[in-house]
Amino acid sequence: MKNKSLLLILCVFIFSVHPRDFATDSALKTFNSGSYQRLLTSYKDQAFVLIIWSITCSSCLKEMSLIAKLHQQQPELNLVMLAVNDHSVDTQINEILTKFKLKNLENWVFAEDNSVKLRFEIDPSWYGELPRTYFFNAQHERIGISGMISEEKYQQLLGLMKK
Amino acid sequence: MKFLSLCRFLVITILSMSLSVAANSKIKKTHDLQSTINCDDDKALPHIKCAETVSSTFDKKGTLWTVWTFNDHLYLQSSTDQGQNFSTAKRINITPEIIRARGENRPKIKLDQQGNIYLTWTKSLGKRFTSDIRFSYSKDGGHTFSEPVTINDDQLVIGHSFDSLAIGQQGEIFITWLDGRDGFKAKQAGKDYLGSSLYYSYSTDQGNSFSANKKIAGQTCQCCRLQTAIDQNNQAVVVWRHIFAGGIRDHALLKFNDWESVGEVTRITHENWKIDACPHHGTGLSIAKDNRYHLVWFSNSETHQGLFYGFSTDSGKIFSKPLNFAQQGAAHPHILTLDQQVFIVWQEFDGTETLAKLIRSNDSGETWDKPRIITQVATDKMDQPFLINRANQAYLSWHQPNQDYQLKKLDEKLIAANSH
Repeated sequence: MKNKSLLLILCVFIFSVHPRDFATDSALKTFNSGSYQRLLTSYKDQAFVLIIWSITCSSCLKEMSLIAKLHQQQPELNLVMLAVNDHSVDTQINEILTKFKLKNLENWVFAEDNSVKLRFEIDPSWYGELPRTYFFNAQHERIGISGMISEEKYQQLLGLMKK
Repeated sequence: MKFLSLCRFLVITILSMSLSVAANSKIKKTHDLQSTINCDDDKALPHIKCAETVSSTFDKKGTLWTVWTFNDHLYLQSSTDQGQNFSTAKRINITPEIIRARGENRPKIKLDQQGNIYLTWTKSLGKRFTSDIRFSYSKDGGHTFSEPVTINDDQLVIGHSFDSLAIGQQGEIFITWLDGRDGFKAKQAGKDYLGSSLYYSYSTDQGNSFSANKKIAGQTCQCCRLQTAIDQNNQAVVVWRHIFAGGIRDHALLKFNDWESVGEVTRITHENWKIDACPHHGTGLSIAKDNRYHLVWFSNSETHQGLFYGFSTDSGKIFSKPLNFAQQGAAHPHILTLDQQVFIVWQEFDGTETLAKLIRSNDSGETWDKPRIITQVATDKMDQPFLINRANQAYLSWHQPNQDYQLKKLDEKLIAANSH
């Protein structure tokens, strides 16, 4: 009887965990070939922001406080982060995300460090400069911006995204 | 409620750990399949194929010299038959050190007229964004190398990187690099400092001693390779990506008057690329025998995108109207001049293969033929392409990390065989 109760409790929790909840908890999702399309599918008919960064990109790290602020002030925003580093530096990635309170965002990591192929799948016209941020509206029309974005510009682009 | 939260936490932790292990196993397995030499094996012997980058040059006798890293050591190999066969790999540093060898930052090798070999590299100091500039030489044709020394003299654990090496007509050794000491001092004083600084040092005694470090420019972009060349008047010329007023990351040039003094920092490209980020995309510079400066560079500004070429006939004050010779997907151009011939190579990933492309001028850069594909490799993981000169013949030096190093003679036969 006791075992059955425990099993029931376990089952309830397994099924109560939404896939996206699981992803945003502490795991760094692996961004493989095809992941970009799957990402678009998972945000079907929703606006979202894809923030691409690297642990060796100082401009990316400087921008993280702003991202955390936006996340706090506008929790309804779908902010997705993608590090172009691979899992071999998970510790450092997690340290940075924890430091800037971005751990509970949807976080991805390249399957292969700085993969040209994965970059190409996201955007053949992106040369790899970082940070690289894509603003998608609900129809998934996107604007790609290279470099750090000021708070004012961020708000402007988020506004455009909602149209 | 606490018990329920703990259960949920445990379930999620166990599941995430399983997924993480599975992902890591998959990455390792794919890597193993790519080569018979297991470059990840701690016991593996050094091999050029396991290198991330290969830096190469020909000496005046036509011998090819390559320098690459493996397991925290720098190795040297030579070939007397243009890369068909190589000598046994010679280890340079006895004490292991983490050497930056990826993309824009890689070891350098140059020889003087006497055949002395000079090497520079960037040694990581462990903490992110910290490194030193290292130097070593051989005066016996590569049999023995000097104990590496650190060229930056500030003793600060900060960034010193993107070493660039050139040898003067009298054997002077010129080293320039990006240095973080000014930014560090400004930060300590509570002030801002934009970008990095350009520093240099030189030796007139075959590397036994070096001049005190001297700053030659501030507010440089922090992450693009430098290019250094010696002009026909034995004056050093340095080109880098700068941060101009308004956050514009276009290119600058400095020409030395002699080994001790420099001219003015000159802005030489005008794409007005306003970006607060690191493009990781440096230039290519080659100075011809007629003292014409030839330059290739990358931009992604609103008005100018892709790869560009220009030349200067007045020692770098003004450059010709830029030729936009490649657009979307084109990257990392390099340039070489041989008398009136000028070669430009670059790479492009087309979704499946990485192509090495070429354009050539026979009239010192005034006119150019259409791009050709010189070679391609079925991968997205290629090192940057470089051009080197052997007895007035251009060669493409191109490495596929963990796979293969190739040297291709860019003779008329090869060029003709590759259609536009």
